[in-house]
Amino acid sequence: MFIDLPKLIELTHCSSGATEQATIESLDREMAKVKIDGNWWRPLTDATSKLMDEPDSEWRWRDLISRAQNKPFFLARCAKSSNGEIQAAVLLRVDAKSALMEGEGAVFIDRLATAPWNRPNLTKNPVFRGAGTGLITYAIALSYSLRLDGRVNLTAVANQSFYLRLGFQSIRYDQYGDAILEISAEQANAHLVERGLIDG
Amino acid sequence: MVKKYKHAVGDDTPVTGGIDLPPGLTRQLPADVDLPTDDLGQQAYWLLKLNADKIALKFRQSDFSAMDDETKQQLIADIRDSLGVKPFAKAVI
Repeated sequence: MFIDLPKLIELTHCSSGATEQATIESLDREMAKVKIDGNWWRPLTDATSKLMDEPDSEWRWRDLISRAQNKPFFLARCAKSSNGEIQAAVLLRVDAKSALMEGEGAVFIDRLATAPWNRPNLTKNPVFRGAGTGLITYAIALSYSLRLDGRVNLTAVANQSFYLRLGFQSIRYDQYGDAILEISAEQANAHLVERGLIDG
Repeated sequence: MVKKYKHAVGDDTPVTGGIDLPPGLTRQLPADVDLPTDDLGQQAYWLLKLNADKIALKFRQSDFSAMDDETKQQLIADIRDSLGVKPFAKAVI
């Protein structure tokens, strides 16, 4: 693992409010195959909508990791709870340009997903909250630690308002039609200070 | 008594991305054939590659592979110090 980057994410049990710590681990092909592709999409006992309607239901993390692992600027991480289950996963690349600050670099969240059993749109009784948000904070911390000043950008497929509340700004990237969301160095700094990761 | 779950407290970030980084937002960094194979090597490689305008240190990957982990960690700490990156205050997000 990288030195001096956060290693744990505090998860909250939705039912009780109790917390537990998940470890942030490298996500390799085998783990992706067994713990995500072969495990995430099993039927939920209290499903409130169709799993196959989820935007990531056709993502094959094993294939995604296979394609990324020989590229020099990709990184795959996951949050693993004490029962060994992967609660969220993220694929990052560190060779992005900032869309807000010309001439500066950023970390790009290629994709991020929380386990289906944690999604309130899929189940009446989600297990954990905080795994996906924790990995976003990890991306910001990675950017900070690589001297990219915390800048992170992404394309949100849903819940854009969440990212705006978190401090991301929406930038219309006209050439391609998709809006890019990016957190500035100042907002990233505030995010890390608020979470006690760096001093104000 | 266990508090009843409400939808509002679920994770706000279930799914993000899946759309390629637009080419116009990709940095054109020279690709090396000899890439590090371990995390510490990757961390040092990224620090140097992404900050080539701020810090220059020439070494071959074979030099790095020959270092023990303690030496690699010290090298990374020195690079970060040169770049002004301060250590995190805690390991828990």
